[in-house]
Amino acid sequence: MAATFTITPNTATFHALIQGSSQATGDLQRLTLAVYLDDPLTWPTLLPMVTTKYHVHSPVGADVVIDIVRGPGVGTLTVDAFGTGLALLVDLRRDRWLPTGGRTMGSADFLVTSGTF
Amino acid sequence: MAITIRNVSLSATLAGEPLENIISARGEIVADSGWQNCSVYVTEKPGEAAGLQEAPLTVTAGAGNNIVRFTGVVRRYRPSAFPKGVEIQAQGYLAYADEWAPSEDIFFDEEFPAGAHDEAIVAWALDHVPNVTYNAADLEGWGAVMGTIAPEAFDWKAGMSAWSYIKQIDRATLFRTFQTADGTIRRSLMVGHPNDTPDFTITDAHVLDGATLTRDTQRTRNYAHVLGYSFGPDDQVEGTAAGSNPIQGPGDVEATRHAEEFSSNLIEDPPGVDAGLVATWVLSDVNKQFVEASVPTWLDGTHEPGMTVFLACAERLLTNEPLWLARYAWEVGEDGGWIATYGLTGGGLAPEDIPGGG
Repeated sequence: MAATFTITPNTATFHALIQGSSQATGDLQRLTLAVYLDDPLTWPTLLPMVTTKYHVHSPVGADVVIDIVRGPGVGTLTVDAFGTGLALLVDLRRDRWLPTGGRTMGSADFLVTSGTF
Repeated sequence: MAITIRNVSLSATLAGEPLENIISARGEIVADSGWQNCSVYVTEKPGEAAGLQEAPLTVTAGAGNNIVRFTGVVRRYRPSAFPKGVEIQAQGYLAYADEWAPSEDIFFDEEFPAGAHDEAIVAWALDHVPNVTYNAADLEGWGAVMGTIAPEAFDWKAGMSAWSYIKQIDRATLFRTFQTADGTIRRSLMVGHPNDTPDFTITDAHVLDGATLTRDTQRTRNYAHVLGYSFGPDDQVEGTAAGSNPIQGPGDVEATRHAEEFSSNLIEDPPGVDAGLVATWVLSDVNKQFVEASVPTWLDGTHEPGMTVFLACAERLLTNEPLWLARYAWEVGEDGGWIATYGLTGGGLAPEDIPGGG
C-alpha cells in the first residue's frame, strides 16, 4: 500500500506492507508498519522526522498529554486503503537491503494521535 | 479523545554563557525553607575543573510556557564517572543569608531606638548580607512596631546567621520569607486555610500518578496559648484564643480544652506584636482539619508559594477546597517530559462540606 508521512515542508513516500505490520491499543494507538523503501532518498528524508525523545502523560481523569522532548513531533500519516491521521514517528529501522536500486525494507513505529486508523 | 501535544524546552545560562549538553533539570521552591534549589544535569562541566564556583545560573524551561524557572548561583558540582555526567547544584541568593552572621553583638535599641515594623527588621537583616537584593514592597508585614518594650530580645547575637534572625522575626509574626523562581524575595502570611479567590485550579484532568492527600485531626486544637517575652518569674506576656470544633467542642471550657502552646520572646504587648492577636492566628492554624497534599501534574504554569490553589479532585483525592501552595517543584528531561509537583497545605472545611466526610 502506498503511504506518505508529512511534516511540512518534507514528505516521505514509501510502501506499507500488510505482512509484518501490526496495530496495538494503549493510551495511544501504536501502528507498526513494515515498510518497503524503493527510493534510496526516502530513508534520509524520514530520519529527521523521527521523534526520539517524548513522554506520554496519562492524567488520572482526562486524555493524554504528549511532551515532545527531542524531534519534530506530529506529522500527517496516510496509508492508502487503510487510513489517515496525525501521528508521531517514534522508531524507524531497516534490516534488509535488496539487490538493486538501493531498495530497502524495515519497519516504522507510529503513535497515532488522531485519525481513522 | 483530545490529545494535547506540547514541545518541551530547557535552556540555561551559566556565568552569562549558554550552557550546552543539558540532559535534564529540576528545581524546587519551598516557602518553609526560604530559597530555591535547582539541579541541572549536563554531560560535561563547562570551563576549568575548579572554575565557575558561585557563578550565576539561570534556567528557562517549560512545555509551552517557557519562562525563567530558576535564578541563583552554583554552589556545588557533582560529577559522576560512568556514565559521564555532572550535576550542577545551585541555590537562590537568599541562601547567602544562612552563611552570614555578625562577628559582634548588634544591639537593637542602638539601631532602632523607636522600634521598627517586622518587615523593616527583616529588610535590615537582609541588608547585612552581601549579594542579596530585595524590593521592600515585596516584604509584607504585621505592621506592629516591634522592639519598644523588650528591645533586648531583638539583639542580634554574634554568630547567629541572618537567616536564623529573620526566622525568629517570622516565627513571632507567623510570616514566611522566601525567594521565588525569578529571584524575588517575598514575605507572606500563610496560616489557617486560604479563603481568597484561588489563583488557579487543579482538577483530575491535570493529576498524574502518585498524587496523595492526607486529612487528619490528630493535630486539631480548639485553644491557643501564646507566651511572649518574660520580664521575670511571674511576669510574662501572654495571650489566649478559644475556638470550637465538632470533634473537640468548645475550647473555652476547661474540660474540653485542647491547647496549642506557642512561644516567642519577640512577642510583646502593643505597640509590638500582640500576643492575643498571635493566639487568634495560631488558633486559625490549628482549629481545623489538617490537609496536606502532594500533587504531580503536567501543568507548566507560572506558580509560586503563597498562591491559593483550588484543588478540585473530589472523587480521587476527596477534596474540593482552596489550599495554600507551599511547595512548587518541577522537573524536565528526556524521560519524563515536563512534570510539576504541587505541595499544598490548608484545611478547615466543616466535615459535611468534605466529599466522603460528614
